[in-house]
Amino acid sequence: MITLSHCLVLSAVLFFTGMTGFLLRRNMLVSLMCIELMMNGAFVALVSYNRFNPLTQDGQVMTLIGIVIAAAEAAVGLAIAVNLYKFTGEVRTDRASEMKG
Amino acid sequence: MTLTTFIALSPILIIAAGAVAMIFVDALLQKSGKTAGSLFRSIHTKGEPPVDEISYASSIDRALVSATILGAAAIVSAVLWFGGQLGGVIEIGGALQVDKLALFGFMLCALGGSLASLMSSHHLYEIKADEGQFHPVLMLATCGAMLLCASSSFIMFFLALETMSLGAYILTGMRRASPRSTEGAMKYFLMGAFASAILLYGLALLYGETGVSSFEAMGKGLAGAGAKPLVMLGGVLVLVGLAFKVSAVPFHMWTPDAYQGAPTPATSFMAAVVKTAAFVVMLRFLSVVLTGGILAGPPFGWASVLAVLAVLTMFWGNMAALKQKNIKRMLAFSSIAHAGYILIGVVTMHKAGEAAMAGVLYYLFAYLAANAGAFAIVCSAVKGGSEATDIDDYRGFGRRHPLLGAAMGIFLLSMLGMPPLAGFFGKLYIFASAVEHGLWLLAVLGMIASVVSAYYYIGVIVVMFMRESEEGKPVAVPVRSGQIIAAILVALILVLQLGLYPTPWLR
Repeated sequence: MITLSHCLVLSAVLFFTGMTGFLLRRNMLVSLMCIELMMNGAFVALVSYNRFNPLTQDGQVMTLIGIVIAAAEAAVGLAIAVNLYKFTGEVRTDRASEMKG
Repeated sequence: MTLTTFIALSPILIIAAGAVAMIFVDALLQKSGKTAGSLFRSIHTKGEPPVDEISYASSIDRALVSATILGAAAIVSAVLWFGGQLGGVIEIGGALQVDKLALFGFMLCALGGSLASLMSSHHLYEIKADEGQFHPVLMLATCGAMLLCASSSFIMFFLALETMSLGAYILTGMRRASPRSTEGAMKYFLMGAFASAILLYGLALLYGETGVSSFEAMGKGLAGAGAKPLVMLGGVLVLVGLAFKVSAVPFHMWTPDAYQGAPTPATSFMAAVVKTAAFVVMLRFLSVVLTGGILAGPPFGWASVLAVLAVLTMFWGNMAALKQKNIKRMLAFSSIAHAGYILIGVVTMHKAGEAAMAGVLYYLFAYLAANAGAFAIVCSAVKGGSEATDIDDYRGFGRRHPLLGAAMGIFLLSMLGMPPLAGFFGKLYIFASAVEHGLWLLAVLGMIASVVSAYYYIGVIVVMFMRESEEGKPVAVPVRSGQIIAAILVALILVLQLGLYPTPWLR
């Protein structure tokens, strides 16, 4: 029997995996994937809350809209990554550090 | 959709329709190799003759068209706000709520966007950015900001927040030939997307407790729920996400780089529009959703969290601004510091309720005007073919160009909070209301922080008026663009009007 707690644990694991990865890794593509992971954690939480408390369908609607937003965000992020590659020849976030202070 | 709904949303609809129309017209004109020039070319620019007459003229026209559309939306919102014909609160589809707060937010966002595109005319041409993309993106991002001001369910909240932020990331990276612009966009994007994900998780937790998406129902549900750990965590995560957007310390790391790297009009947009919308939605979220006593008040409510953030933000922002050599970076840290002052007003709201909102909104208005004016002047100054962004470039600028120098002085003094300018009354209302409700410690710290900020604001004025330019070094020269002058004039009138006769704006 899968309960709400199981789903929430899954969502928390996804979220914190993504967060840890974002904070530790310096590759922009990995950072992008980690952000997606964090958002997916939130989506799992939204959907499972909705599944166990079907008062409205808001959680599922939010998830659908959120997936579209995540796709748009990835498009912008990849465009920036391509431009970064043009300047540095790689997509490491710590190589771009012209501005300081 | 009734007529009232339509009228209430008209500022957003005007801008959205204008942006879509601009994209199509631009595509068609590019195909036929013409520009919209003959239609809108009314203000000519003097000064250095542009190399490519046609693309220069089209750049000017596009800026004028988009500034006009955004300005029209700002005027419509102002009329709706002043007139109050809408008669209270209009709910739209359970997602949007157009009330006084939202209308004021509409006005500020549209005005900020309008000034940003007005000052962009010459600049975009100079940095060879694609203005055919710049203006529609700016307008759509403004739409997102306005929807954010009016959002009353968390679905709309997140959607609008992302619409605004994605536009702002694109604007920051618009200067594709510049490594700094890309670096700024990358940092802004990564931090912003990270913050959005955190905020989304917080919203999911709050949704889990209540099972509804509308702010009002959520607030009622949470008030009954008390202080459960997941609710507290959800509230904290949402606050962290919003703190990223308003660039409160310690979530400010992206701000200086994004502000410095972005094209100057985009910087002005970020400082004015993004910040305003984020603060408006913060006011709404805190006053509607997290109202329950234990969630709001001390010792663990949002008021205490934000009070700590406010103090950190004011002092860190002002201290870091002291040593900056680049004027855009200095204004970035100054904008962080201003977020700190505004947070004091937000904290006061947990005791004063709606009354504290007026002060915050007035401050946002005053800051927007002064900030847009200062960035317009930075935008207008060029040095040997490139933009003048070092503070040293402005040596003697005020002597050579007394009117522009005086205007810049007024904007900086307004940010510092010199009477009788707008910024003074902004600070006065926020600090006075804090003292009135027993938060005198915050008010005193805010005043000390303002005194620190005098050093770098007045420092720029001293450089402009009392330092001679070094021999042989290129000096900052203003471009003669009617539109930038118009942007500066509008900002100047607002700063003086808000300061000398603030009563109509305080309702």
